[in-house]
Amino acid sequence: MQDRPTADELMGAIEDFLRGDVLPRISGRVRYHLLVALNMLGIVRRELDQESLHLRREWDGLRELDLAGNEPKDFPSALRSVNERLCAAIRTGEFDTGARRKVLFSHLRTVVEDKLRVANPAFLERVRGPGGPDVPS
Amino acid sequence: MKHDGAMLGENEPSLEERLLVYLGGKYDRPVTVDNLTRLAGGVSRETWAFDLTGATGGGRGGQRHLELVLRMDTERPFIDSSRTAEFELIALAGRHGVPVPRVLWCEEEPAMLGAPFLIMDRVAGESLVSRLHNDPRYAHTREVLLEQMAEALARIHRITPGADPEAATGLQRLPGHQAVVHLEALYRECAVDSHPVIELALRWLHGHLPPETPLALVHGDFRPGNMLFDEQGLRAVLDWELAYWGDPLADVAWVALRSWRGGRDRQAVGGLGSRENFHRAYQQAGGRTIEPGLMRFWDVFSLARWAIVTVMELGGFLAGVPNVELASLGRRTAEIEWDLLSLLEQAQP
Repeated sequence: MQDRPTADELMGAIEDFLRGDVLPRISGRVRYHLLVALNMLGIVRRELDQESLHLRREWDGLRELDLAGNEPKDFPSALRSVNERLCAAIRTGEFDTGARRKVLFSHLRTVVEDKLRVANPAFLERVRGPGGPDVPS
Repeated sequence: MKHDGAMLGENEPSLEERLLVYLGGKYDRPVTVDNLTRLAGGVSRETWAFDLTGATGGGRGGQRHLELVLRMDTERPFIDSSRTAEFELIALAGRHGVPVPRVLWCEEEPAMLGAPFLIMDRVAGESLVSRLHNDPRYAHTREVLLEQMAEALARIHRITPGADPEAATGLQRLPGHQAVVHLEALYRECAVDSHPVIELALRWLHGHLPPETPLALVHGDFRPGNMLFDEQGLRAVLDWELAYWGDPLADVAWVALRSWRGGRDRQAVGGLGSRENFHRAYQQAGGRTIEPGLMRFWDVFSLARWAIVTVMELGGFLAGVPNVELASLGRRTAEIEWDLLSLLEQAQP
């Protein structure tokens, strides 16, 4: 067990320093890239906070599709191989129609939502609101 | 003077010194290069602004002063576009009335400046979408740009492979079904992990190929971020490196992707106006007929293509291209997948 500050608290300090002290002093391309970097720091913090929940949820979804079994020890590598199998099944047309297609869509929606909770929560909030879905007639 | 040009080593001549040698050779007499500055943006390219001064050779000792832009390739996997082809293409578009910068020189030989490059006139204006949307001095631009973009796109789409004997010959020909095959091949080549949503989209595209239409010039990345504008409106269409001969509806769908709206979601085309208004202006300007039934295919195609571009940029980052912006793109794929799911959910399976 490491001493405080926690990893998240350390990253919070880095973020405050970069935003408060560095950002106002730079311009142009470097400033733009610092904004990109700060955004990535936010992604890392949210990911560390939510990762285990999201991995388990993705696994559960794949289990509902009869593609995954009991919880693995190493989620990322197990998910990688199950997702590869899922992609192969999509390619061969297993999900072209029917009830399984519906289950797949609801699973993928959950997975994409979880990715957005980490990568861009503001985007997720926007597109889940009224007028969010962008489906031209 | 030292610059942070990525391709030049410590003890090699600076970019400025190399430019002086190259341009001196073009004019056959000494020139000066001033104000060499790297411009922001551009994941795939380094863009530099500079001023060139040299004797005119008119015999009266006159000076020639040019404000120029240098665009240089940064090394990237998966993309092989030729500067010569791009040079010819921009000139071609210009001959057909598309607003573009005048192109002056191009060079494929990497030894010259450290990488292949293109030199063109520096057109006054900017292309920053957040400023387009928010800066009060672009109020008029916001009113006219949608229509001007539609007109420019219609002009681009009137350029056909046979229309001009000097037409850029290096461009790929990708009618609808070939475009899908090409896209899928690119995806298979660059994908590091599996992406079920992209698989679903590719599967759907293969099953819903559009009827063949006569090929036209497709810009390939037509969006507000690639338009140079000023207070009067559109000044130039930039970034031609993804152009090909194909179905023009690809551009019409691409311009309406959510990612170009800067958060102004109700204005589907670049945060500037509705799809309907853009389509009307485009067709009035002589663009292709837009049959609503056909747009669905190109909407899915555009989203899939943009998702695959982010996957490709991720591949570039993982292969060692040092760019913080490139690194962040891999986490944008999910935004595009969100819209892909909505579209596929509604479409006939």
